[in-house]
Amino acid sequence: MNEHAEIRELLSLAAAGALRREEEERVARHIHECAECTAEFENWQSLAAGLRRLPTPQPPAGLVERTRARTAWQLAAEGEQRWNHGVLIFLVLFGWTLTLASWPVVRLVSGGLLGWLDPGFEHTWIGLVGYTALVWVTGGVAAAMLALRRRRERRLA
Amino acid sequence: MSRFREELRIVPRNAWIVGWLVYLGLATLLGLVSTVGHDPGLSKMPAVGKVFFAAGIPIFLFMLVLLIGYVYADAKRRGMRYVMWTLLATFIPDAIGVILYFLLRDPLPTSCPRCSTLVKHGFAYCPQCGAPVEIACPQCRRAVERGWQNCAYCGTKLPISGPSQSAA
Amino acid sequence: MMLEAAMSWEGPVGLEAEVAQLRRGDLDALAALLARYQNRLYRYLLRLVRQPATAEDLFQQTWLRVAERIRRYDPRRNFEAWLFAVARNLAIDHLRKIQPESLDEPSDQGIPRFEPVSAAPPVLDGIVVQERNSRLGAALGELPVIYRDVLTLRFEEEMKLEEIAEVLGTPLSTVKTRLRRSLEGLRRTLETRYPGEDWLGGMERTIR
Repeated sequence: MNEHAEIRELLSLAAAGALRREEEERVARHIHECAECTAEFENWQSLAAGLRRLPTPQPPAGLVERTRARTAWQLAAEGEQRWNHGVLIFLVLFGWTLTLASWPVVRLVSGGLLGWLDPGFEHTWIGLVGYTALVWVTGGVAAAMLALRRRRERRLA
Repeated sequence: MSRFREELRIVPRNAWIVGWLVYLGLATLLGLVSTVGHDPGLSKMPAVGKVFFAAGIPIFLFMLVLLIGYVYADAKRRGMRYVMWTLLATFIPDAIGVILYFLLRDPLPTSCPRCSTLVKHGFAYCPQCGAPVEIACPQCRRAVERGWQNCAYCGTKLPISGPSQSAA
Repeated sequence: MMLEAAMSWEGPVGLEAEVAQLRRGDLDALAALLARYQNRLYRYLLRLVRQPATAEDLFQQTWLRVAERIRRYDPRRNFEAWLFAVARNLAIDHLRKIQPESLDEPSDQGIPRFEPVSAAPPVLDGIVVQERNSRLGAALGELPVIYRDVLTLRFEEEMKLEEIAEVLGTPLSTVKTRLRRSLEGLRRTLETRYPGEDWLGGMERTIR
């Protein structure tokens, strides 16, 4: 009787074709002799057959085209963002390079009082730092003014 | 890389000309200063260093000129105040003006499918001929973006994925 | 488009080529894959979320994600299993958002009953078959998501157990257990709603 109970457990999976070869054969052998299990097995098979034959719902018209369009658009937008980030990173590095490269040029063009590596360089450094600070302040002021202007424009739009 | 080439083509020819002139000018100046100039630090440099110095540094200025040229042409095609932006890009030092431009620039305008005038980003209908140019909210008719669930202006729930474009 | 749909029966060879093309960034391959899977993927999503509008939205999101993640996809893996796994994850996330209670529980609060749309005209189908389909469909819709999920994959998609395990991300034994429980659950639902011998609704007792 233990065998019988065990087989009953496996009948649903057998109808689903989800058993290993050995298990399937074991089930087949048992139902060959047991009428009760045969009836149960047929029940499960009908259920499985019914599930297999469920009609397929039709997707709405134009789904493929809409999906394709949306995917293409989204990928393009993401690519655009990545490009913009790349450009900004490059520009920041470029800005710093210009800052550093401008120091010797400013020194040279202004005549350079002290030697390039001369220890008595406090004044020069102050001059260069002051120049750099002036650049940053100018940039900051311009950014603030532009941001304010945009905000005003947006509110009117 | 091809994207880069595309963008590079926007730089107007004059900018290239000015750029080369600036490069040659600054390179010459720096060359003179490093060979016959009086700066003690510079004269101590080996010849290779001087070449690097005189020929290398002006490259950055050359690039800056091209960037300014790009700002001019790009601001123009986006319908922005291109004179103001070009001046900002030129006179705010160390490319900060250029950075500001890239951060704050308007998106590209589209062209109206019916009458081909340039239509600014964010418009739902062409101001010249009235043709729809962008997907619009069914309630308030303002331009909405793909992917929005609700209209950002009037709050109406938007139909999923099927854009409500009147004619197109 | 029609040509591609007609050619989609090519089978594994065509599929491999299209996936390889997509990995190289060719968006036409995406269109081909879309056509190939549109019915099956849509059906699967509809079974999970039971609402056509949501199924369509998830359908689009699935393909978006496929396009984004195709580089990270290991070409040695089964593409279909991966595709359905992506769809499943999106569907489960969606259901969690709108149905905070456990997904193991049966629930049909406020969700419209899904009526299976027959592909064949009703006259040819026969009353008995229609009745059977609508009973099954309704009972299916009442099961918990994780049961509907595995039943659909096994009987409608006809996936092998190993493939189902890949889609679910669980071991094979879990798949078997879940399959057995879902079949039992389905039968219980049918027997409860249609007590008496006829819970099968006149399903043909065919031996397969």
